[in-house]
Amino acid sequence: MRAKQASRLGTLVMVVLIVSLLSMLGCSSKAALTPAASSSEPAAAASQAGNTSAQSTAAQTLKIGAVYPMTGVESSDTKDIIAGIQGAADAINEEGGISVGGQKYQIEIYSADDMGTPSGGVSAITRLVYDDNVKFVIGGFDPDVNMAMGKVLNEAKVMQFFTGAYVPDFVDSFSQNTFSFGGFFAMDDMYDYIFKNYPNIKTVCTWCPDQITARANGKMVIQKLEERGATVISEYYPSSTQDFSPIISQALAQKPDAFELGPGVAFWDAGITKQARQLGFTGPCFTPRALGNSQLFANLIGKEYGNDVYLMGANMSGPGITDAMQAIGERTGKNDIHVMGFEVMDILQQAIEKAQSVDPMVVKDTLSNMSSFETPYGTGKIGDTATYGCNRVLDTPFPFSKLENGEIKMISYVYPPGVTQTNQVTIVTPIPSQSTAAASAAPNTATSTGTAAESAPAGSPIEIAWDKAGDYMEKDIVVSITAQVADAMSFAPPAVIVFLGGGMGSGLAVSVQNPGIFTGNIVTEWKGKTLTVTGKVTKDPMFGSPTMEITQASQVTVK
Amino acid sequence: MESLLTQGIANGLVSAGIYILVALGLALVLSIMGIVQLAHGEIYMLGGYAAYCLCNVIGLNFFVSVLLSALLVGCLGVVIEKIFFRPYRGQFDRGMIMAMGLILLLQSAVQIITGGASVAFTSPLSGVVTVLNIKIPWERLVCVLIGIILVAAVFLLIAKTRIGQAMLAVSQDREVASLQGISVDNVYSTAMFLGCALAAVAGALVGSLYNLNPFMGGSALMEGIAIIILGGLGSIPGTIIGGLVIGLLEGIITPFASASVAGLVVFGTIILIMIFRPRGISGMIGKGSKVG
Amino acid sequence: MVKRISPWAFVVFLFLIPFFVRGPYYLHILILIAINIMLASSFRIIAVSGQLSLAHGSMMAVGAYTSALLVMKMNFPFWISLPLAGLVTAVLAMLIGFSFIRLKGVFFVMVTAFLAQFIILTATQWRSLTGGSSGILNIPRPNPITIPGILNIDFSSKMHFYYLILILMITSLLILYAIDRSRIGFTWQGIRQSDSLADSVGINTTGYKVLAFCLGCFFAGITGSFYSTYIGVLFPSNFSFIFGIYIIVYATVGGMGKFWGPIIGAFVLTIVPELARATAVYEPILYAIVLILIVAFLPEGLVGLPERWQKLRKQRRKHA
Repeated sequence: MRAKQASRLGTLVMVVLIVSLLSMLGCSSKAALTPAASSSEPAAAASQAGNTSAQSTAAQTLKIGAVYPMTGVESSDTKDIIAGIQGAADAINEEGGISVGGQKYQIEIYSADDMGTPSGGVSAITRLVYDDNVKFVIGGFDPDVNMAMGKVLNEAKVMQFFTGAYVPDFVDSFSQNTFSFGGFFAMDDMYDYIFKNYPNIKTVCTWCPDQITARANGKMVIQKLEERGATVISEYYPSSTQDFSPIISQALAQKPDAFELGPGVAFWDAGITKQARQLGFTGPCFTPRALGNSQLFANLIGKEYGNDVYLMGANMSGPGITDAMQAIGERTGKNDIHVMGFEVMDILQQAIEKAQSVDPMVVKDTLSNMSSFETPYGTGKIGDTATYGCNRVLDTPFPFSKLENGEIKMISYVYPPGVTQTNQVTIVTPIPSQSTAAASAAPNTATSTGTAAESAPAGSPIEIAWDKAGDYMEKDIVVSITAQVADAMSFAPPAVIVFLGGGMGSGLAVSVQNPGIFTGNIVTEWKGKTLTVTGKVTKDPMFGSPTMEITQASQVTVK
Repeated sequence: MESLLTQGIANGLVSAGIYILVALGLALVLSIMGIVQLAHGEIYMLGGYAAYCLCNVIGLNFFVSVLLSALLVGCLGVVIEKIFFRPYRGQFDRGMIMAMGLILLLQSAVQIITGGASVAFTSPLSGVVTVLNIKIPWERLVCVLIGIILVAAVFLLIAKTRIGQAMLAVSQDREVASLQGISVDNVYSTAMFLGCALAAVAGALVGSLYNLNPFMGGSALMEGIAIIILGGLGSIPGTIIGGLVIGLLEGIITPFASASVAGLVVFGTIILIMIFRPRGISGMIGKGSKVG
Repeated sequence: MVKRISPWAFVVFLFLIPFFVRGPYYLHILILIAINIMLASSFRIIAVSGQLSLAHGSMMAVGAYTSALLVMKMNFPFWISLPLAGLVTAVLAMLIGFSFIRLKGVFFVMVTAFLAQFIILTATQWRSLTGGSSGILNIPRPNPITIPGILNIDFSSKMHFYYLILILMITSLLILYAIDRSRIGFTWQGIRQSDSLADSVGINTTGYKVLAFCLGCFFAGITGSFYSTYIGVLFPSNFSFIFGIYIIVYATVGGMGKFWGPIIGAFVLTIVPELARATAVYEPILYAIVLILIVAFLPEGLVGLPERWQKLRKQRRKHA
C-alpha cells in the first residue's frame, strides 16, 4: 500500500511539475499591463493605447517598463506614479508617438511589482528585461531594491530612471545606466529663504528615519545648515514610528528654533510637525525634498497646526500651477505624484528624440550631455559632475510652497542655476494677511524716481540687483508702478511678487488698489526704498484673475 | 532634564492607555476562548478604517463613529469566530495557522479596497492642555479617558454581571462550566464581541491620533502580546499592570536614548520573562488563572 | 519499480532544465523556488518535534549576514563562509533552543515571534557590524571554480547560481530525508505527540528538541548565505515577520505530515503568483485564501490529495 501511494504521489508530483514548467516555457509574455487602479481612467486609457498601436500601420512599439512596489505601504503613491506614466504614454501615443528617424514609435508600458524587497526587485527587473524585453525602465522607490536590480540593469544595458530619493553615495551602486533626480540647489534655495525670513534661527533640529536614503542625505543636510551658521542637532527614529512625542520631547529639551523634516514622506513629516506643534513648538518646519503627495501632507497636519510649514510641492488645485500641470491633472488626477510620472516620460521622450535612436545606451549618452530639457515645472538640466559625482543626476525645477492655516500656498518655483527658463512663472497670489500687513495699508501714490533705469524684457519677471540685497519685510518702501490695463475688466486686488536680488527670498508684494479701468499708478508702501516697476495688467488665462506682466523696471536708490 | 522625565512619563501613560485596550481585548479572547487570535491586530486596523469611513466619509460625529465601529467590528468578530475558529476549537495548530491566513486576508482585502493608501483620519479635538508644565494634547487625553472608562466597564462586566461570571467560569474550566448549564457558545461569542470591540476602539483612537494604514496591525499585536505575557495570561489586572509598565518603559527610555533602544529593551525583557518567569507578573504575585 | 525510477530521473531532469528554459527570468524563478523549498523543509524539521518557529526567516537572516560579513570583512572565500554561516546559525539556535526549552505550544510560537523582532532590531541597531539600516552592499559572487580547459564557473550568469542552489538543495533534502526516516525522526514525532509521555519513557526530550531546532536553523543559515551572494545586497527590513509567516504557509499548504509536503507547498506557492502575473496586487489575498481553504478542507495539505482521492474512489466503489 505504501509503495503504491508513494508512486502515485511521485507521479502526481511529476505531472504537476512538468505541466507547470511547460506552461512557463510555452507561455508568451503578456501585453501591456496596468495595475488595478481605483480610477477607471488609466485602465481605459491603457486599452486605448493598445488600440492606437493597431491603427498606425507604420508604427513600431517602444517598450518601457515600470517597476514599483505595488503591494505594501507605499502602494498608493506608486499607483499614482504609474497612472502618471501611463497617462503620459497615452498622451504621447495620441499625438503619434515618439519619432525617431522618420519612424513613429508607440509606447507600451509594462509594469512589475518589486514588492519592496530586493529579491522581488530582482524578479521584477529580470522579467521586464529578459521576458518583456523593455529597453527603458522607470522606477523603483527604495534604494535597497534598486541596488539589487542594479546588477541586472548593468548587464542588460537597459537605461533606467530611478524616481526614489537621491542617495549621494550610491549612484554608481545602482548601475552605470541609471539616472536619478537630484535637486540639491533646491535645498540651498529653501534654506536661504528660511534663514532670511526667520533670522533668529540658531539651532536646527534635523529629523531622519533610520533608513538608508535618509541617512545618506542627512549628511548633506547637516553640512548645508551648518554652512549657514546654524547649530545642528539630529534625531533618528525607526521607520515604523507613528508616535513621535517621546522623541520630540527629547528634541525640544535642546531648544531648537526650527525643524528640518527630512525625507519628504508625508506620514513622517506630517506626524512630526503636528505632534511638535501640539507639544508647543512654534518654529518653522521645512523639508526641501519633493513630497510627492503634498495634499496628504497638508491634510495630516490639519488647519490648526498648518502654519510656518514649508514644502516642495504644489497645490494642484490652487493658483500658480503651470499649464502643463493643469493638463496632467485633467488627464490623470490632481496629485503632484502624477506629475512625477509625467515628468519622467517627458524627459525620456525628449532624450530619445534628441538622440534620434531607441538604443538605450545611445539615449543615455545623449541625456547625460543635454544642456537642458523641459519638465512640467520648467526647464531642467543635468546636474554638475562636481556636485553629484557623475553626469546622470537631473536637476529639475520644483514648486515651493508653504502651509497657511493648513492650505498649500505656493511661494514660487525654484529653478536650477545655470539654465535659462523658457517659461518662467511668476506667482500671482493675494496678499497674505500677516507680516506684510504694513505693506497692504492704504496705498500711497507718491512716486519718486530712481537712478539708472534697468529694463527687463516683456513677460519676464523683474530681477533687479539691489546694492543691498536684504530684508525688505516690514520696512517702508514706496513702489510706484505704472500700469496699462489691457482691457476693461473688474477684478479684486491682485498682488504681484517681484523677485529682487535674483532668486527667491526677497519677494516684494505689490498690491493693486483701485482696480478697474485705469492707467494710473499702482503703489504700495515700504519705507526708505523706491522701485519703479512698469507693468501691464492682464487677465490670467487660467484663472481669470488679474496678473501683471512687468514690462519695464527702473532701479531706485535707497533713501 | 526633570521635565523631560515627566513629559516622558506623561507620553508613556498615554501610550499605555491605548495599548491596554488592545491587550485587554486580546486577553479576553485568549483566556476565555483559548485561541491564539493572531489576527487581533487586523481587527484593530479594521476598527480604525470603519471609524474613518463613518466619520470622514459619511460624516458622522467622531464619538458616534468610534462607538458604531466598535459595534460593527464586534459583530464581525463574532462572525469570524464562528467561521474560522469554532470548527478548530481543540486543535491549536490549525487554529493558529487559520489566524495567520486571516491576517493576510484582512490586510490584503483592506489594501485592495482602499488602494493601499495610508489615510488621514482627523479627530475633531484640538488644542493642548498643560498640566504641571507637561503638555498633553486634548485628543490624547480623551483617548486615555476613553480607555480608562472601557477598562473599568469590562471589570464591572466580569465581576458583576452573569455573563461576566459565566465568562470567568469558562476561562477556568470549560467543561465544568458547560456542565453547570452555561452555554459555552454564547460565552465565546460574547467574549469575541467584547474583545474585538475593544480592539476596534483602540484602532479608531490611534487612527485619529496618527494615521491609518493596512499594516498597522502588526505592531499593535506585538505590543498586545508583550503586555499579556508580562502581565500574565488570563489575568486582567496583570494586563493593566503590564500595559503600564511597557508604556512607561517606552515613554521614559525613548527621550533619553532612542526609540529603537526602547524597542530592544522591551523585547529583550519579554524574552527573558518568557524564559524565566513565563507566568508573568501575576504569576509572580500568584494571582494568575489558567495559563495558555 | 516506478518508485525507484521516478525520483532519479527527475533529478536528472532538474539538471537539464537550464537548457530548455527560455531565459534568465525563468531561471530566477527556479532559484527562488529552490530557496523556498529549502526554507520550508528545514522549517518542517523543527515543526516535526512540536516546535512552530516564527523565527525561521530571521535565522536565514543570521546566516546571510554571517556569510556576507565573513566574505567581506574577513576575506574568507565563499566556499568556507557558506558552511560557517550554517554553523554559526546552528550554534545560535542551540543557545536559543536551550533557553526556550520550557516553553511549549503557543508560548514557543510567541517567543519565536519576539525573537524574530529582536534579531531584526539588533541587526538594524548594530551599525558597526551589520551596517544597520543602510545594509550591506555589493556582496561579491562566490569564488570561481575552474578546471583549466574544461570548466570555468565564475557565477556571471544565473545558470551557475542555479546549479549551485540545486546542488545545495538536493544535498540538504537528502540529509533531511535520511534523518527524518531514522530513529531520530521517529523520536521527534513521538515528542510532538506527547512531550510528557516521551519524558516519562526516559527520552531526552530536551536534547532531541534542541537538535531539531539546530538542524533546521543550520539549513536556514545555509540558505541565507546563498541568498546573500545571489541577491548581492542585504537589509534587515527584508527579513520581516511576515516572511516567517510565509514560510509557515508554504509548509502548511504543502502538508507537514509527509516529507514532500513543504516541497510541494513551496513550489506551488512560488509559481502560481508568477504565472498569474496580472494579479500582482492580489498575491497576498490569494495566499490567504489558499491557506484558509487548505486548513479548512485539506488540513493534511496538498500531499494529502492522493489519499483523499483514493478514499473517495473507495467510497464510490462501495456505494456502486
